[in-house]
Order: sequence, then C-alpha cells, then structure tokens
Amino acid sequence: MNAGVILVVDDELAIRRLLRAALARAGYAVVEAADGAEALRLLAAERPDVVLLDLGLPDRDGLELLPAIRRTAPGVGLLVVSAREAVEDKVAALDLGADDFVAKPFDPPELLARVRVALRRRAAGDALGAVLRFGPATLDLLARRVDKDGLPVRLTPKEYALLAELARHPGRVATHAHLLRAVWGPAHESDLEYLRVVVRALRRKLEADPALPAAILNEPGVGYRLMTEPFEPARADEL
Amino acid sequence: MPSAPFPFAAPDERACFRAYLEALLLVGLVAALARAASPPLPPAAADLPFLLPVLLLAVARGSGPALLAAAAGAIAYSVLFTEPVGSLAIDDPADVVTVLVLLAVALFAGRLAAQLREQAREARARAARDAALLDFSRALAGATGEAELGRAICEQAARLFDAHAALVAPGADGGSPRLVAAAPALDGLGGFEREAAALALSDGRPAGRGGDRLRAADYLFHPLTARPGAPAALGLGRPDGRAPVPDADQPLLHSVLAQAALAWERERLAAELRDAALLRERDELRRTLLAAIGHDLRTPLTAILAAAGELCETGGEAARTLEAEARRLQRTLADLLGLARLETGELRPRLEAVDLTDVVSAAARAVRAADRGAPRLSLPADPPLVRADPRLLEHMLLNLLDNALRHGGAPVAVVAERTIDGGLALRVLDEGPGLPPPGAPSAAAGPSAAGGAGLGLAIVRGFGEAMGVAVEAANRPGGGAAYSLLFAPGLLVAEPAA
Repeated sequence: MNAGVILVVDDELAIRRLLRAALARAGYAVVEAADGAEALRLLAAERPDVVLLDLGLPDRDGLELLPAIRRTAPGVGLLVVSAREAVEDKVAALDLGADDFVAKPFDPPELLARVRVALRRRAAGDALGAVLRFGPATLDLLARRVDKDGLPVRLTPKEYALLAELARHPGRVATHAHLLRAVWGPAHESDLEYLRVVVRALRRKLEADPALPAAILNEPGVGYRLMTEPFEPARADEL
Repeated sequence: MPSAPFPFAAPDERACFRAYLEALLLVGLVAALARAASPPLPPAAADLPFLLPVLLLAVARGSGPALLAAAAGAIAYSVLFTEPVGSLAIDDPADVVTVLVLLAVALFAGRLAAQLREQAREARARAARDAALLDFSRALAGATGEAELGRAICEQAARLFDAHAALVAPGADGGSPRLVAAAPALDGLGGFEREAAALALSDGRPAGRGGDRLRAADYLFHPLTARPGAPAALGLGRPDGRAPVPDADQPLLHSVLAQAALAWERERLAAELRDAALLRERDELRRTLLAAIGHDLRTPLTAILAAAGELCETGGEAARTLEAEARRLQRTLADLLGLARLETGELRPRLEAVDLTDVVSAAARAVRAADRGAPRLSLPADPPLVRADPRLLEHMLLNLLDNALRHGGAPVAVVAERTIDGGLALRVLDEGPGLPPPGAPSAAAGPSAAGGAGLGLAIVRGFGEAMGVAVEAANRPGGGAAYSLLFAPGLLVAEPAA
C-alpha cells in the first residue's frame, strides 16, 4: 500500500539515496530531483503529497523555489531539509510557505515524524474542531476545555489563546513572530519575553515535568511546536 | 659637518662696529676730496657730496651707519666749509639751511634705503627658509617605513638647525617612549631625556633643556602636534648647551614640526592599510577554507549518520556506538566551524530572551539520546529569562554536560542560582576527581582525555565570549568539578506580568 508520494529535492546523490531508503522502508513512494527546474517539473507531473526540499541547490536558492512550489501545488506538504544552521533561513522558509523544517544531518525517526505530520495536515487540513492530545493533557477546541490527567485546568485568556494558536499547527513549528502577532497583536511581534512567560505558565499547568517539557517544545531562535499525538479517540483510555 | 651659516641669523657685533667705522671713513674721504677741490669750486658746492656716503651706507649697511654718516657729514661741512672755518659755528643763515637740509635728506634717504634693505633681507630669508623646507619635505616624501622616515626627519632637522636631533614615539602600551631615530646616531635615551620626551608626548608642550621644564635633559623635545597624546616628538640639542633653535628660527621650527607630523601620520595610515590588507587576505582565505571544510566534512558525515541510523534499526551495539560517536563528531565539527565563523565575524550571536528551561532540557535530551546517562536537572521554578543566543547557549551546555559525563563522574547535575551581584549562574556539577592540577593537564588526565576536554571547553569559552557570558571552572568543596556560566545582571531580562 502506498502511504504517499514524496518528492526529494537534493543535489547530493548520497543524501537522496539515504532519504529514499528511509522513506521507502516506511512505505512511501519516492521521486527524486537534483535541481530546482527538475523539482518543478516533477511537482506537476507526479503530484507528490510531500516535498523534501534542500535549500542549497545548484541552479537556484531553495528559498526562491518555495513560492513557486506553493503556486504550483498549494496543498502540498512542504518540508525544508537544510544543512544550514542559520536561523534566518528557517524563519524565512516558514514565512515563504514551508510547513516545517528538518535539520541536516537528520535523525530518521524525526524526519519520518515530520513527514507524517505533513501528510496528516494534507489529509485533514488544520485540525480545528478536533480534540488534541499532548502529553498528559487534552485540548477540546470546540468546548474550549483543557484537561490534565482527566481533570479540568483553568487557563488565563492569554494562555488559552496561545495554546489554541499552537494547536492550529499540530506537530508543526509556529514562529515566535507568528504567535506574538496572533495572541498579542502586530505591535508586540518582537516582544519575545511575553511569549516566554506565558509558555512557562502553560508548561507548569500542562506538562508532566515542567523542567523537562515534552509537549510544548522550543525550536531555538525559531518558534514553538506543540507535540500532539496522532488522532486517536481522544479520551478512550481516560474514561 | 661644517656649521652652515644661518641665513637669517642677526648680524653679529663685530660686523656692526665695522659698518660704523666705514661710515666715519667714508665721510672723512668725502671731506678730504671736497676740501682738496675747494679752491676751484666754491665752498657752497661741497654740501651735496656729503649725501653720497649716507645713501651708500643706508643701502649697504642699514640705517644706523647712515645716521652716523649724516651727522658726521653735517659736522664736517659746518667745520670745513662754512664761515667761520674751523668751528662748528655758522654765520650765514643760508649755510644753516644747507646743513639742516643736508641732515633731513640724509635721514629720509637713509630710512628709505634701510627699509628697502630690510625687505630684501626678509625676502632672502623667506626664500632660504622655503628652500630648506622644500628639501625637508622632499627628503621625508622619499622615506618609507617608520625607521627610514624617522632617520630622514632627524638628519634634515640636524642639518637645518645645526643641532643634534632625536625622534621619539610613545612606547608600546603606554610604556616609556622609544627612540625611533637620531642624528648623529644614539644608542638610547638617558633617564632625563626619556622623562622629558614622555612629558612632551603626553601633554603636547615642549619639555627639556631650553624649555621651561625638565631642563636637565640634553634635548628640548617638541611634540609634532601641539595636542596631548602627540604621535611623536622631535628632540633638538647642542653639545655646547646653547638653545638649539634661536627665537628667529621658531617659525621654521614650527613648519618643520608640521611637515614631520604630516609625514608621520601618512606613514601610520600606510602601515595600517598594509595591516588591514593582510588581515583581509587572511580572513578571506580562512572563510574559503572553512566553507570547504564545512561542506567536505559535513556531507560524508551526513551519509555516515544516516547509514548508522539504518544499521541501528536492525539492532547491534556496534551500530549504536557508531551512530552516537558520528553524531558527536558532527556536533563538534559544527561547534568548531561556528567558533571560527564567530571569530571572522561571519556569524553573529542572535541575542533574544531565552528561557533556560528550553536550553537545559534540550541539552539534557541530547545527552540522553546519545546514551550518556541522565543528568539531574535542578532549575528553580522560575529561572529568570536571559539575553543570549539560544543555539550557542545550548551547545555550550551540551559540551559542559558531555565533558562532565566523560571526564567527571556521575551523578551530574545542572543547577541555576542567583549570584551575589544579582546575576545568574548556570552550573554543571559532577562528582568526579575535580579539575586537573594546573600545569599538568596531560599527565593527569591522559592525552586523549585532556584533548577532548580541552576542545569542548575551548568551544564553551569561545561561545561565551561572543555573548558576554563568563565561564568559570572550580573544584567543589565536597569533591568533583563545577563549571559555571555566569550571566551578569545586565544579561537578565525583566519579565512582563503574565
């Protein structure tokens, strides 16, 4: 059974081969492109579900390619795979339409997890209305209800707004600037300390171990990621 | 070197005396000739010849001798040619007029002539000074390098002022002044000279013999620029102890100092340019090298890591070790490249408000993933936010944890606590043997262990320096080592109310 078609865009043959091996083992079909032009051609011809895009391509900067990919295939899952450590590139890639990024050299389980999240998003759109489960906590967006270990938790309006915004990108990174804009307004886009303080409060209320957070994770210099679990019956094991 | 006549020195006393003698002799000669010619000529015709010595002397010798010649001529005329002859008395009123007119004309003509003469003398002096300065600046322009320029300045100044010259510049790191060059050559400066030079350099006013302070020095040091902190000073002195630069030559001295200052500044800029070009070249080379190393090492490492990851899935302790070590190698490589790029300025720390919980938990997770044990984390419930680059900080902590788990001893703990000065200390504590004693690092820990620890700690220190975070290593009172990252109060971020 085909779990999905993945387009791998990377100029290094060794990397392409390894990605193909890891992805094929997980049941995905893989097509490969070595440069931007071929990537765009395959994007139209093969209609992949997810694109793994390297930012350092021989014929053009990967960042330039992002809008073109979004235009050609608006709904495709778009993951940036880059050796570049520069935080600016990651933020720019997210702003230009990438769903998430994977740092090279990658961790295969992490890579596969990101691919799954991207596929899920493609299948379900943003999971508004669903009940999300992360760590010991659940968030019911329709009922505006948050539980930890089955017991209701009281959140301040800012805490709830931030959690809901994170829940709109389940498993994916949301940039600091995006979260600040959404919760505090455009004027506070760079007031990172606001975000830090509310995240700390959320962790204290919702994490199993607030000193070693597992649900709300930080991507240094980029943003936060809510580590939701796949859609399973929300409270099946709880009730 | 024979003493060159100073072109604009004041006429000396002997020359003056001779000019007055000449005035008297000339007047005597004219009187004698007029007397000899007086029978054919009427005595009244003898008045005009007395103007001749006055004009002659005014032009040739200046107004003083001309005045004497006028007075002497009037006396001689009244004694020899007016009635009664042989006496200063004059009977005929017309003769009185003649004598007075003679005196007046002599005075007037003498003054005019003397002015002309003065102007000509000044023009000559100016020309000579300009020529001397031109020589000076030409000699300076031809010199390259500090030593050669210093020698040119000294030789030219010594020639111009007929004095010994020495050029001094401030010593390195504000130490005592150093001798750049001297003419005639000197081995070094004496104590008094050093003191005078230091004073002149520091406050921009002359000091030394002939000046108004530190007269015990053999030289009078003139700073090249009349400002505190002069770039260099020119010392002038004479073996006979007289003032090396007479007052009349002060304008020349000023011009010489100004020229020397210009040349000195030009040389300093040229040297800086040479240094900057060299640095730029080196930086460029380093950047290219780093980029190449980064690419050529990272790519195979990525392949190794991915392959090791695949091997891990089929099990095997060896595969897990391979993967963990490859990951460590990859991290060290990334850290080293980062450190080098920080040094070349290619990478700048991105400072932001950082929650230490994020940094500490990420580092602990990475250590745990590498199967190196689980550090005990002991952060206060609300560690203050710090201004730092989160990635650099995480890597600093990762290196410290790695170091503690490898070379220290379990259990390893991370604690954060406020410091006495109101800052924050993030400490990695172990219960191992503690720090190697100073001076014997390799003997105590073995070469490989010391090398590993040294590299990791060098990275920690380098990253810390880039962010203004101090790194401190100490032995704990109860045994074991403590490595602390110290955030000054200025690096803590005030928190808004939630």
